[in-house]
Amino acid sequence: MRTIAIKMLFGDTAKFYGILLGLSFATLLIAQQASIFVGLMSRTYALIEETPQADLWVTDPTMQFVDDTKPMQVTALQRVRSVDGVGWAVPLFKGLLVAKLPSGARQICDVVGVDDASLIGVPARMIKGDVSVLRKPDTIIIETRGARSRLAQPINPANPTGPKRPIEIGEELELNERRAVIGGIAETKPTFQNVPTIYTTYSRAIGFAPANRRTLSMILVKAAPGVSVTELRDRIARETELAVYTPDDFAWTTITYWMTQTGIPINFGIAIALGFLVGVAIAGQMFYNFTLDNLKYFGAMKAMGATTARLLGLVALQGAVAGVLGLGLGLGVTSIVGLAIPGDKLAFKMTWHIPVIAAAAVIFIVVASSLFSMRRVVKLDPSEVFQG
Amino acid sequence: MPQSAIELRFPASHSPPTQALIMNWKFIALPILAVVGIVASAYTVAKQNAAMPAPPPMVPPVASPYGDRVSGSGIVEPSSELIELGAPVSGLIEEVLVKEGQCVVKGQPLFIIDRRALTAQAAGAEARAFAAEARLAQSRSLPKPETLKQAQARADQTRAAVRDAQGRLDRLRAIGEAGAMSHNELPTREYEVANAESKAAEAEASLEFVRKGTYPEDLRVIEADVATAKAEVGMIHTELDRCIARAPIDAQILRIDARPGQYAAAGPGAKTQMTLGDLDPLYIRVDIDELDAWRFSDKGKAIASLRGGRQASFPVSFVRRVPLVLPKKTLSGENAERIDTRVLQLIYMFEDPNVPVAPGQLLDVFIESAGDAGAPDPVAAPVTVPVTAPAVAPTSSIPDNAAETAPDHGN
Repeated sequence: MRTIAIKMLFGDTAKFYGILLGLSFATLLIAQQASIFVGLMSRTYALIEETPQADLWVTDPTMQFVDDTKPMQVTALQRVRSVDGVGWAVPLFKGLLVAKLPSGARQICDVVGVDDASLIGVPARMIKGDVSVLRKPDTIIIETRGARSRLAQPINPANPTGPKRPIEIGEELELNERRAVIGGIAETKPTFQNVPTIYTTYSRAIGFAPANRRTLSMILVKAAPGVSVTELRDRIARETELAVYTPDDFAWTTITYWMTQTGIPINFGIAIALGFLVGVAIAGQMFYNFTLDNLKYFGAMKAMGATTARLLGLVALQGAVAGVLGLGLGLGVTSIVGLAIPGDKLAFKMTWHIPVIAAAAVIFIVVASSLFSMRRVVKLDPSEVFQG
Repeated sequence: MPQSAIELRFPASHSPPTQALIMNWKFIALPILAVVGIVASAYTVAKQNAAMPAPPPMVPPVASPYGDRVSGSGIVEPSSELIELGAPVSGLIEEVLVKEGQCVVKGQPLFIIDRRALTAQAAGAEARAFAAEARLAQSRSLPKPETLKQAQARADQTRAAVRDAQGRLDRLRAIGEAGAMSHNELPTREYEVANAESKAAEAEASLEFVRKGTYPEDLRVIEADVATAKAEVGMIHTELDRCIARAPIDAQILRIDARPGQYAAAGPGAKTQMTLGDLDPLYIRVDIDELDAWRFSDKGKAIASLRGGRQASFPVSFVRRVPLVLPKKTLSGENAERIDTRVLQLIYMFEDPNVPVAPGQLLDVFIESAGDAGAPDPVAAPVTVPVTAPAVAPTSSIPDNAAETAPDHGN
């Protein structure tokens, strides 16, 4: 009997593919748009993810998101170090500076200055060179995306608008009239603003930056062994009256800023809702029509003694098979697209929530349309089948 | 039978082999594709949400050994503080007598400013002093015996001449009573006597003048000349001595900016020629944020930690505190120094005399704070008591005020 139900589903090729396409397409739209949305949002806190050593981030209380640097007094570092339970605390400089490239072009860059001694904050994945190059004078580390795109140099220097090659180790930039030699290239997570990131030591970064009274953008804190991070967070906040975040808090603060201050969530919300509507409209409608077309078989089965409950089970089975196939195909296409397109072209990040949400949407569509279909099966009078 | 009848009604069942093929394809390929898709999404989720690998820190960051503590940044300095020696006089540097790192004793010559002009002046002054002294000796040697004898002889001669003239006059008068002389003979003889007497008086006066030698008043004038000339010589010698820069204390030479042939200017704001200091023991000057200053206790233990290179901490002991809270200076390397906040400066001493640190080096310092031992500062007492929630409200305005007032003080 179940085989008949499956054959019934697969046999009607046009309707079957229609249902499958509708469900796959709905899954694709929902999962794809949600992944891009999550990907975009995760880029806003890339710096936090790149620096997993820090248990806590200390910033000026008015800071709204990671890139919104409001420098603190230099002695804030010593005040944080004075708090009981702090294992270590290191400074971090972050600021946008204009770099003059070897070709003479100018490019705004995000400069990250890390603690001179420990170099905490330098990306872990070095592609060329080593982190220890920062011990050499005037040295900086750049990241691969910047090297390939915005910092790329013309192959023929006489033709600055011509074809370009990635900038290489040993080439020099100028930051505020100061020499900066590229000593290493790192692989980093893409950032939301997508400007090239330059890593250097804290003291060198301050040298590059224009004269400001305050230079300390953030403080990275590690709790001493055995100290509760949340308790330490509260204690630092109480004793220094600075803002203190756990990495998750800081990421959420950043995401919240972008969600509330920009139209990004509305745009993606509309796209996701459209995907859902398309699924309901195409797949639900198809499935209902499919059941109507096959009513005669259900009637025959009923006439041969199949109970209504048994028939409803068959409808549910058909819905489940179509749903699983559609979901699987949709997620597969989404994943392949997400994996195939490089990260610097497309912000794509699939968290475990996204397949679950897509599955929930598919289940909703299938259940809703099955219910409509089942209504007809329940009301079905077997004699109708044989009248025509 | 009814089942086969139903089978026959399937639209695709007219060509069973083809249909079987299609059914097989759908039955096998589609579920496989769907499973592949779900697995792919699971893979994507796993791959894109993997935790970032934490790069090992190059050097473990400095950590405090104390629970309740105050942290500050410290700069190593000699216990004598840095002595920035300037040139005592302006001029070309003639010779540098010490090397960097050398230990010198108090008064030891360090470098010499060109002395040729002064040496030449000294020769002239010494000659003048010699001349003055010679004149004095000459004056003191008067009367010379020969001159005296000469004057004496002259006086004797004139006295003899007086007697001679007087004898002739007397003899004439004796004859004259007998009337055997001319009338003009007598006055002539009288004049001769008078003339001889005045010559004798003159010779007597000359003798007296010679015998007295130099007058004391004149002698004092000459003595004053000698003193002046000698004073001038002394002055030039002092100037010559000032051309030699000497060590003000027993110390070590930390830096030499003086090189032979360079011009060294003297006076306020002049360049430092040599930096020296007493490195035994070494001190460290610690800056503590004014907002943390109330928690500082001089009873607490303290350590100073190296920043880079290798991880090392050295115990330090309290020496004194600078009573004046100073603006913290951040050397920017540009033409302006940035003043951000104010700091309490504390002086600590390295307990180990052989610490591998050098003057000028920057270290992180952790000082154990008193905690329950009580605040040393009576001013801090009201703040220390309510550590809990109520304390937050009154102190919350401090950072804002500090932020606003700091630049005013700074500029």
